[in-house]
Amino acid sequence: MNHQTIFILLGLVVCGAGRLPAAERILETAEPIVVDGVLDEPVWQKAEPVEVDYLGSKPGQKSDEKRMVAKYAWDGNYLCIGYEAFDTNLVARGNDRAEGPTGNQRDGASIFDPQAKVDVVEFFISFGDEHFMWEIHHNALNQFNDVFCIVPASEWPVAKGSLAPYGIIFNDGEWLRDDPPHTVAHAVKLKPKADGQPSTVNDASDIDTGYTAEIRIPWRPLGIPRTAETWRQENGKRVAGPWNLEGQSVSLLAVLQDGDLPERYHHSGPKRKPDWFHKTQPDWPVYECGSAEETAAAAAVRRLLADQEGGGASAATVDALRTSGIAAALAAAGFLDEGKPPSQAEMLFDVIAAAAKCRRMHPEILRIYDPAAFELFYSPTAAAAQQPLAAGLAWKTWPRSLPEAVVRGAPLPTLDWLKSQAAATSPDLAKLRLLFPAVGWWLRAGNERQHAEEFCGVVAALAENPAVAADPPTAAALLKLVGDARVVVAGDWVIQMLASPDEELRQAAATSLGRIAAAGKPGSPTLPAEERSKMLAAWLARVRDEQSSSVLAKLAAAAEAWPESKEVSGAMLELFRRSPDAEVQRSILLAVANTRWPDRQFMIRESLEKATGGVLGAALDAAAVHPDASHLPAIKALLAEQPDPSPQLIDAVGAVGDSESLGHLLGWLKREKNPAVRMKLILAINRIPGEGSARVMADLLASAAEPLEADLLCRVASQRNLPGASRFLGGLAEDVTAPVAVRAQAIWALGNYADTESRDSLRRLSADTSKYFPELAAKRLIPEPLEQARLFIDLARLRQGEKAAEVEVVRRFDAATPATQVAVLRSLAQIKLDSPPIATGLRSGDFAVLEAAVRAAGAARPAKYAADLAAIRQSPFITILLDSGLDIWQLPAALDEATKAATTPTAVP
Amino acid sequence: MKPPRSSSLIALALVSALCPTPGRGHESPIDHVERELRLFAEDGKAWLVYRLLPTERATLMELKTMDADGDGTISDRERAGFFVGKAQAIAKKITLNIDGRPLPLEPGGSVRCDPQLGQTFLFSGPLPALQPGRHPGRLVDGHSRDYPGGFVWKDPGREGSEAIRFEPVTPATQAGPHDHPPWLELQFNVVVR
Repeated sequence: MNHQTIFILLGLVVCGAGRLPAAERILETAEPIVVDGVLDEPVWQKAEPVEVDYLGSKPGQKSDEKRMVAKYAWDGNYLCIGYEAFDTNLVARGNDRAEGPTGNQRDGASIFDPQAKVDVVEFFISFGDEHFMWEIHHNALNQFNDVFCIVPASEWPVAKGSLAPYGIIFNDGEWLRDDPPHTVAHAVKLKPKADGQPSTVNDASDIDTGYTAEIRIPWRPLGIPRTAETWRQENGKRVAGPWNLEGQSVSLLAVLQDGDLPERYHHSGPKRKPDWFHKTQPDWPVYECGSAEETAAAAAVRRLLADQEGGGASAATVDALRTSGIAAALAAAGFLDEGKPPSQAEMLFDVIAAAAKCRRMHPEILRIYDPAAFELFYSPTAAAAQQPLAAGLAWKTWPRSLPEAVVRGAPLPTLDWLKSQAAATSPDLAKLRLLFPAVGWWLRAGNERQHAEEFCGVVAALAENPAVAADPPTAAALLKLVGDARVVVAGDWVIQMLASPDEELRQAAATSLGRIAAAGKPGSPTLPAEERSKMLAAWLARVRDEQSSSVLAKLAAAAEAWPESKEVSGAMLELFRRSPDAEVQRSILLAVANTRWPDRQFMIRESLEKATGGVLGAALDAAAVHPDASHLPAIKALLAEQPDPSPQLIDAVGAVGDSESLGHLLGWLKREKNPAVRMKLILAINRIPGEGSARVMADLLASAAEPLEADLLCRVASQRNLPGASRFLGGLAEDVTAPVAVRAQAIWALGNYADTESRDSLRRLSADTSKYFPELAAKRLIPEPLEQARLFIDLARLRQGEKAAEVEVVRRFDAATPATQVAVLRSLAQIKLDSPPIATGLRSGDFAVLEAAVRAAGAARPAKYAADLAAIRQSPFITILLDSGLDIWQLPAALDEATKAATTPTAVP
Repeated sequence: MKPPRSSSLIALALVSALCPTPGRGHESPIDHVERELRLFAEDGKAWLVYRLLPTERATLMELKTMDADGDGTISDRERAGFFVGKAQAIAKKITLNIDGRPLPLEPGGSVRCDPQLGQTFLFSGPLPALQPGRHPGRLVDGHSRDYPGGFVWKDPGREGSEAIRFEPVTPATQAGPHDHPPWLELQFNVVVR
């Protein structure tokens, strides 16, 4: 799975989403909270931490240091608050008042004292009402206030009265009642200082760390909506409670006042604007009471939906979704609701699509790394398990992101839906057009491990549905899908559509035909010979009869499916002569570059002589792939015409290897400043055989000033004997001021020269490597860089024929990093030298090392390693890796080559 | 984080030297491995929570190694055996120094695999007696030398015992496939209160 996908995806969807009621979740506690100030109850471990770090004066901006973390929980009787305050100097004062019911009176806390700079924690609690709310104060001495506050609307007369001096009525004579037997409780636990002793309150001589606290408040005095009230019978009496809190929302803002800080107030409201806390209730965080069983993934999805209102998902939410794997998809499915705004469904299906992309991975990976995904896709009950993810298939309107989500996460319900459409007299064409690209992309990318055959079968069945075929946009989309998925069984329909009166359908059919026919090419899925012949015949007939240039261009591109065919070659030549259209000509030449048609040279030559613009560019590309002496006159004419080289012309000149062009290229090189074009010119010169170009390359090496060019020229000198090169290579290799990378190239190139100069140079480097590589020698924490330098010096000596150097090469190879091992093995492959590192590499657990070892084995002594090569080919996980499209090094080709070399009569066992 | 880039170029240069393309390719042919670390003190020990995020290709190659009997499936025993060995190998390659003194790490617990193809290892080692104050420390990850990639030190200086904190000196993040050092080296202060 591409791990960035979900991040990007979520980043996009949440930014563009509409507004929804936002609610994060607070968890139910299965066991009552023991109010002792210690946050050791299980629910506190699971509860989402709420950061109380937002600066009071700067909206949305958090402090650099952590100030306070709050956590909320609930049960049927109480709202529970836990928090941890971080403070190096705890200051708390009482207000000399006590409030509360008899038996549960609370000592009051001072909330402002300019002399003492008190610290106090506040919680503002409302059930969605911006006019009426509770304000709670608590401090490190466990002193507690409860103030019922009224924020009158400005149009209320009381707002301008003496009761509301700041637009707020502070009813501090009111206090939170108990709801017997449920009582208000609060406690504090001072955290230990560095010496292990508890932090001290009102002692500035030491460094405190803060405290933890718990507060428990019955729901009834908080003013919970009565809809949450339940009744039960107890000893024959009707008794209230517990409250039904599931789904109940509460607005809750936490505030920390730290008297020592210049920024005195910190709070938990990312969206809150600077004003009295009471007056910003609509911007306080909202929490919904959820069950204790909610998974981390469900909590993350809920947060994601809540974050939608804030304009973007938090990093923590995205991280939680990414790490949840398929659980995120299952959790998102739990929130799918056709009645909710479309933006919510878009987001949820995006989550499903991103998480379910893992279905492309091999089941053994899923079984180990995401067992829930393995269960969802591979268990006997997979069809039923996938249903929730596919709920949207039955919706009247499909969200944009639904197709990818269902193809990836719910293949079995999706197949069922497609089958039902294939059988319907009036299939839902609009929805089919939405789904086809997602199916096509998934199959074309080789992601479908489980149901490829079923998907192809249902696609063929849809092609037979007259309603689908009769609707041009749907038929065009289906043709594309047939091509993407290489649905061979729909071949007859594609052939039929090649003759459609609709030009766009003929174009789509031509492309589709080419893709299906290409399935028969070497290395591609098998195509029955009969089908292939039928398609070829249809293609030839269409090319002959077609008049539309757009369709002909598509037919020319499709012709690549028959790269060796004389018939196709002849048809292309005929079309090339018949159609002057640039799009058709260009399309033919692009195909020529990828085929071996007998008539290719004529088409290339003709175009080089006559074409211009994009057609000439395609002709030059084809000439670079299929160089031929017959191109020379035209290429020389172009050389004479063009004052500045085009990259395509440089490649074509280099490919044809004409020594007479050497002067021209060298002249260009002298004028050219662009480093990339200069590199191309150097490579083109190098492709010209003979002493003339070798001398030019040697001169370039001697005068190279740019590291990149020096690097390239060293590589050339390593592969081709350049006269007098060893002197320059030796100088470069020993030059401590030159870039290490270029010197490495020079050292390896020295191995290509067996003269005294190069031997002496390598000997000096070998005898005192640390002197020549002082920078590497200084890195002592990991000594390998210097060892690496020694390894490559020894390797160059081995290349010169010094067999004694092999012992050192082997020893250092075994201790080397995989990257170094790859370099050594590629070096051995280049010089076709059998050496023990090859056998070691063939056992490697690194793909790149293994591939390099296979190539080295094939180049050096294939017969000796035949059994190892066979074992690699038969390894189940190598097969899986290759089938997964994860091979960028073309291991099968390397294995084929090595195996073929092993069976040649001259192979040395 | 020290950026000792040039020291590794010698191998990488030779790798690119033998590639068919003329330009400089990717710096290493080896699959990169992203890392997340947590480093903190608790219960008298230094703890390193070490999460690797290998590519899917590297994961499949590991399954090939795990599959000791070559039957194409991984038994619990094969998996456990592989990860025990891997944890020990990584522990040997990580060096942790405090006040210049080495603090050997031992693997502990079982390796946790997660849906991001993540593998989380737990290492710990006993902390020496440290006086209040700041003690320079350094972690060098030799495993990242073999398998380089970006890294994130999660919650630096904010985890574990409040009396002893590992506070970063060097940046705690180095991400991006082309923007990471050749190996991971963290410098930090152990702050004892």
